[in-house]
Amino acid sequence: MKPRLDMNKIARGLGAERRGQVPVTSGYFGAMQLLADVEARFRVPAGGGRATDPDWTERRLVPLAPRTLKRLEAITKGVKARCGLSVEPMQLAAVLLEKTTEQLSDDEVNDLVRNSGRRGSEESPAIAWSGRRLRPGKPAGKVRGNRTVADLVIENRK
Amino acid sequence: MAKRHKRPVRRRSALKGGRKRILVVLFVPSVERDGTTPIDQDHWVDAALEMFGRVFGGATAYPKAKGIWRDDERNGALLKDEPVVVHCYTTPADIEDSGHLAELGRFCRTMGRDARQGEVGLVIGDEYFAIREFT
Repeated sequence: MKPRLDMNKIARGLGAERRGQVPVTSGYFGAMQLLADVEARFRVPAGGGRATDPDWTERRLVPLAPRTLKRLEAITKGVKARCGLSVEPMQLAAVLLEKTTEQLSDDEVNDLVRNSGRRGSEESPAIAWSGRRLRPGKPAGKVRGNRTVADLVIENRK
Repeated sequence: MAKRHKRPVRRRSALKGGRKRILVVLFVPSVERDGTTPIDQDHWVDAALEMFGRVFGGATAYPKAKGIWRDDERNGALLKDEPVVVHCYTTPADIEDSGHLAELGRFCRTMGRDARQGEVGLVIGDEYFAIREFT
């Protein structure tokens, strides 16, 4: 099992900034791969100043459609085959997200807001329900014994 | 006759306790932050090995790697460097020890200041740490 380290405590103890994760493997080739990765991602310009790699310190769960993930995987595979550069699909997603948000103009943002229709600020922007009565769904499985699915979920949580 | 089941022997996990399983990697540069002035790399590699040996019990310095990178902030100037990578295995308890961290941080700051670096890089576990304040 991977040991859990308190990275914030380590950063404080060192007087260092956390910059991000890198794949670490042992041995000479692991060291060289790590070196290439770090040089590509975290190097500082010779004149000092900001490192060329963006500070990806924030982590969020991003919902994706399976086809989007597949497309990201296909692109990263292609990148690896063509240039030998190993990029994770979600790293690519982060780069694309950054690029898109940087390029998005105020007008385009306004268009997006306008196109979101009648949804007010109180309503969730993710789901719009017409108010139509929903049909009861068919249960996917049958629970043995007297307990309900809800009981099992609560028991699992405990 | 009832079949007797062998009771599984509970073995002590080899990874429990003091087994060294955290990899600490230090990058010893070959040039100053201007990208051209060479530093006394051998001195810093020896000093790093000595520090890792004393604090964490051992380390390995790998032969120089040759690298090149394009500095887009200086009209795409190509800069060559030959960093040495120092590997040290340690335990979670040792790497989280505040005294050990202070010593490791002190070494990195000294190297950063004396070798005129923009940044000193360390990888602990699978995370990259950057030290940029050397005072």
